[in-house]
Amino acid sequence: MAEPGLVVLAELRDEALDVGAHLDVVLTSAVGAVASFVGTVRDHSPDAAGEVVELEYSAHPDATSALTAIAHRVAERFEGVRLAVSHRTGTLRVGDVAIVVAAADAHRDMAFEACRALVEAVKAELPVWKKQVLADGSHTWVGSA
Amino acid sequence: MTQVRYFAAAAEAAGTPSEAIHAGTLGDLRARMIAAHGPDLERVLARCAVLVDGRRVDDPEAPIADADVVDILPPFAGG
Repeated sequence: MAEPGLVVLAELRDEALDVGAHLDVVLTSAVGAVASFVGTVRDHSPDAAGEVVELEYSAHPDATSALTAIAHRVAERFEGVRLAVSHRTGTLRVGDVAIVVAAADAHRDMAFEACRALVEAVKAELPVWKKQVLADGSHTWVGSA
Repeated sequence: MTQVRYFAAAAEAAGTPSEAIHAGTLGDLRARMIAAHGPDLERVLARCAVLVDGRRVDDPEAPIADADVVDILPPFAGG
């Protein structure tokens, strides 16, 4: 069992993310626990004075390789875990899925921990940006004000 | 000449996704960008990381005359 974790999926997509596909792809007969995280677009933000109606995610041209590298660094810390992660680009409406992370392991503790670690690493390190479009037509850039 | 690539809020403030600029140092480049694009870009630049040919550079004295690509990266906002 002393094998490093595995990244089975790491990608940016400009179309809707399939949560179930992430759960399926990390599953093997040795897996006893799959932890998942689904980040969705909400209608409010500390960076925005009004109602948020739309998000536009843009990405650095190297973002896909950055996401793969981030996932591998997390996988190295969790022996035997299987990870899948996808992040959206393009225009999203409130309620749309922006990020999906799934982590599978024989036991739940490592699945939960690896899932959380990958979500936090993506949020901190992935070179993507979020433009929030408000109901009045104005917009703000998250973190750049 | 160095190709400067602006992203997200920086591209909006600069009014362009990229441009060619000749500058000797990072501080020199910064002054030229602000002179060309004004206080909106200056405000965003204060929060940006700068990659010179893929490596993070902070020192204003860092030479960049031979750099091919400089990326201006606002704070990441994934998830």
